[in-house]
Amino acid sequence: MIVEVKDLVKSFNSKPILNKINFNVNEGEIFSLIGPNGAGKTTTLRCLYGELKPNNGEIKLFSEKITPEIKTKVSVMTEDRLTFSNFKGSDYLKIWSMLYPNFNEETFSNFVLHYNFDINQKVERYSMGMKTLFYLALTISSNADLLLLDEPTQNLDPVIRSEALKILRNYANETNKTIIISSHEIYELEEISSSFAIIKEGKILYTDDMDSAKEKHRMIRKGEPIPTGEVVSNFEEEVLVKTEEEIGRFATFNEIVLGYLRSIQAFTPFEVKK
Amino acid sequence: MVNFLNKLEVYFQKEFTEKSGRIFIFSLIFLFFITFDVPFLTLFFIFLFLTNMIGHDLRNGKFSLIISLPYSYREVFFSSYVLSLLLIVIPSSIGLAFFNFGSLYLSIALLKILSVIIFATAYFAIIIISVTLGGDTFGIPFLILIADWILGKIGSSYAVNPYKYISPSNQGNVWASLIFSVFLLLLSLYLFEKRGVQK
Repeated sequence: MIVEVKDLVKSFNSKPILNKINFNVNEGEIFSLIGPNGAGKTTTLRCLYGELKPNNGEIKLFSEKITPEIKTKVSVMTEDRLTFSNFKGSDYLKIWSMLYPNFNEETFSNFVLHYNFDINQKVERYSMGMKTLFYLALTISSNADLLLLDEPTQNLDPVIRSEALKILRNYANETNKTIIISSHEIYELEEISSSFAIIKEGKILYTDDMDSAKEKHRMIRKGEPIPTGEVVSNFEEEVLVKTEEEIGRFATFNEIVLGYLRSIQAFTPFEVKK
Repeated sequence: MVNFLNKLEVYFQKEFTEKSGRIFIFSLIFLFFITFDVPFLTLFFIFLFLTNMIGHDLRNGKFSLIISLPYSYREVFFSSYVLSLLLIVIPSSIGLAFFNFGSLYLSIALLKILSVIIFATAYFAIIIISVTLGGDTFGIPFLILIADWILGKIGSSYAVNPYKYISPSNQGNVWASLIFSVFLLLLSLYLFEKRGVQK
């Protein structure tokens, strides 16, 4: 097991953000944390790389508690694309190659040539898309066994976005590395993820691997008999059901995610008088 | 140890690249102010410098970047502490050496450097404690500095006001204030590691 998260609880000034989060990630998996803004995805990642101290629960990376030695196997892309002031691309290359023992300068050079980075320019002056690509180049070149990527395709145009997803998929598949991605881009997560967790209001609503989740969920038309199992959510004409029975049609990944996200009581700011 | 030295080098490089202007200006200040003995201004500039080190990174989110790299809280804490002390002590020592060569003066100069180290240690710790308890990096520590300055001056004798002994700004007894500063440093390390960033 590469990542084990057990009963993770995190609050900021008594405001609960994560409420007993549990999930595991195996070697070679691309695991997605899917949820709306403010669901707790970024907070979960920040706990995973040790920036935030959990109030309760346990996190193990590579079956050990987080230590600086373990962190040399973990490479992180933070959400806001903050950069060190006055740092040029070459400064980043220098410090990353000093901190990550398996840093591959050739891979980094390939990124520099392909995306035309000016490594003598200050990274803070790059566009947001370029910053995202630059961090992608650093994290992939670090050759780390675990990548933690927060919104890794943010601000990328569709062509580059698809290329970035392909790079990540190959990184996991060809080198058996593990990737955890946090995002709310359901379609692209379906494209590359092997397993996922749906998170909302600091709780994991559902976690499974991609194929198994699709096998277990069916869409049945309203009015049809509900099979044995669990009704997850109502759509306009159909109902999403978690069942072992061969009934209705298979649900798409998008429907499964939306179904679970809607399954908690909907937000109703006012009452409609009848 | 080699690994930590490697990280220390990276941390120093990061600080020198990010804060070169501030480091240059404060080095000039320390070169002259500590040498010419202007008590409150010296302490104020050391305090101001310290708020620009790790406190500044904690305030503007840069700490998040450094901790996402293979550093522990303890490593960041000590890297910043060592660098802050060096950047205060080196220019002060150069200033003192240039302006006074007498052998009699050596012990006074060393005491002056020690006094600066005690003050810097205490306020490095106070800034970290303020941030980890949810406060800011300047306002609350500055109020503490004023209170410490005033409390350290109150009373005609140490029997009336024993705080004079340990006050980081007054330093009635160098060893007592050194122990107090080290205590604050350890307390701040404990809180920093235990609570982490609060945003």
